[in-house]
Amino acid sequence: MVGLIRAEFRKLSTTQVWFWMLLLCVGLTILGVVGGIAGQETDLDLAQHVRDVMISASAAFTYVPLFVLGVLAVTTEYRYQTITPTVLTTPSRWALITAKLIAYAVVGAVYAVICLAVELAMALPWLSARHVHTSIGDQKGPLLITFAVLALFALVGLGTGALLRNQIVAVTVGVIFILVLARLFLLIPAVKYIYPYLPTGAVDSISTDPHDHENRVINHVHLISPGAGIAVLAAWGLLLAILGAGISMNRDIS
Amino acid sequence: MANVYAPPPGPGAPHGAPPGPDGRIVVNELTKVFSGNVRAVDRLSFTVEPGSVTGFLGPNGAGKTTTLRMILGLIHPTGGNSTIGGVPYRQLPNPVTIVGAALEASSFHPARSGRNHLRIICAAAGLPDRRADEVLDLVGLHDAARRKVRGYSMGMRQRLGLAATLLGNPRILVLDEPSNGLDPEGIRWLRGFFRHLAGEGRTVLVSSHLLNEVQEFADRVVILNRGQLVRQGSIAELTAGTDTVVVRSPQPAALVEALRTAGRQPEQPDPRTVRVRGIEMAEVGHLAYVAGVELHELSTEKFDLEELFFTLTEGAYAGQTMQQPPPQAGFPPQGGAPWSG
Repeated sequence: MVGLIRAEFRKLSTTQVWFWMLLLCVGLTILGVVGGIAGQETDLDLAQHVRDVMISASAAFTYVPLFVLGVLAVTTEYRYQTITPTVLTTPSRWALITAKLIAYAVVGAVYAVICLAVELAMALPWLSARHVHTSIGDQKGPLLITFAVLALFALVGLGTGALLRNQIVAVTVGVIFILVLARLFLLIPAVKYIYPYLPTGAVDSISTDPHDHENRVINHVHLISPGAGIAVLAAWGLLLAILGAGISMNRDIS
Repeated sequence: MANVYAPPPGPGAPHGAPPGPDGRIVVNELTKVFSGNVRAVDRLSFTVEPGSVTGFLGPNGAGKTTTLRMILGLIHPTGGNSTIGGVPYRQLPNPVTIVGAALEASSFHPARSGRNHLRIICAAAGLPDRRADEVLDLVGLHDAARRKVRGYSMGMRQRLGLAATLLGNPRILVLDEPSNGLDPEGIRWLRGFFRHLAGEGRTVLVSSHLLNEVQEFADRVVILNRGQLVRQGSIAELTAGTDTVVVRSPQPAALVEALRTAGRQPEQPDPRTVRVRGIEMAEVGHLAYVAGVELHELSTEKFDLEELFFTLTEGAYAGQTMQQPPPQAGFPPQGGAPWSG
């Protein structure tokens, strides 16, 4: 298994995709910090919303490139047919998907750490300049939440890629579902209560202040606890990966 | 270009040990029906013996690639099974050290270097990274090792695929059209490469559309048509007794009569030529001498693999919409073929 995980790291590191996705993540983080701090006109408002600023700076949209990175982990193999030498070397789809899950959990964690480092490097001095004093210790909770969202979304993407196999379909359908379709569930009376259990709803559940009772209810739908949200995201990643390895990736490779 | 191959490891070496009780590839009643009730392979059975080079032949769409992919666990058979050393491929422990397989020249990420492609396989198979450099040297890709695959020619991609098959120093190689895209020098290199592999006692199953090439390096052939086995055996066995003696004479009628009296079935394609199959040239000469027939030519026309192939797969193109006439014996001309795979 160690060799398979090393092979996955090599697959990622020997093309430029990792770099451009990291650049995109960092860029979105920078935009999030700028929007979060510059968007608050008074220092008082900024002090009240510093938690949201810390979370949304990285977690608001940065999980989308990580989702795409996870999708590419599997779909690139089918697009360029490298899946053939991959499964000739490792016939077990279960071993293959397990190695990918472990490798991309680490990759997601590394990306999350880098994004958080960029966020802190920008936000702390800027907040200080605006007379809002906080520290890494004060923001431990938001930082851990952001870390979990970013790291887990790579796995959700990986599972989606394993299930759909087609790169264009997986990226397009996945991103549209996460950013648009999932929120439309909130408008459908019969099914809106499943929203917190969708990846997007899980992110909302994780990132919304647990003490902000007003915002934790969306269209009469109560968000789940942050811990449950993290579990839901992890479950989506695992469930999709299991379905992908058991059904989709097990189909004929011709 | 290097044309030497690393010797197989000695006893106790980590790679290249014979798989299971033998290195035999056994295909048993293998059947694949694709959606739309397309029967690509139909109850196909054959055996590839250890230490032999077996040519796997058939016209386009005969089911060769589907068969190879079923042997390698990439396609699930509808019926039947196949084993390598008595074990299905998917159950082989660390299969790249037992079977080296190259199926197509496009299974590479274009933005990745050839060396990195091989290093990924090394990592997954637990092989040392130096094997990547060693096999790149063997196939003559040392200078292009760090270039991205998108800059490789088709021939270089074929060589990279062959390099990948050698990483685990396997005793068995399964190759699908390895000569596609190779220039004449590359084909000559490939021929020597196969001979070297066979000389080392490795088992090689290779599908190819270059029949003359196959004849030069294969010990045996398996000929497939419309998903079914039409013939298997050594080339010598398959072509035995099928040579044709060609005679030119100003007295063909007398010669034909003499041959018929001797129980032969001569043909007379033109007024001065007589052809007779399954007879020694000396016997024809003797019959002519006894009958007092003057001869201007007495020669033997070899019945080669290409002729055998087209005889056995006759009708493979029936029903296809083609602008060109179907291939005849002796077609395609040397170095080209409209069919493959």
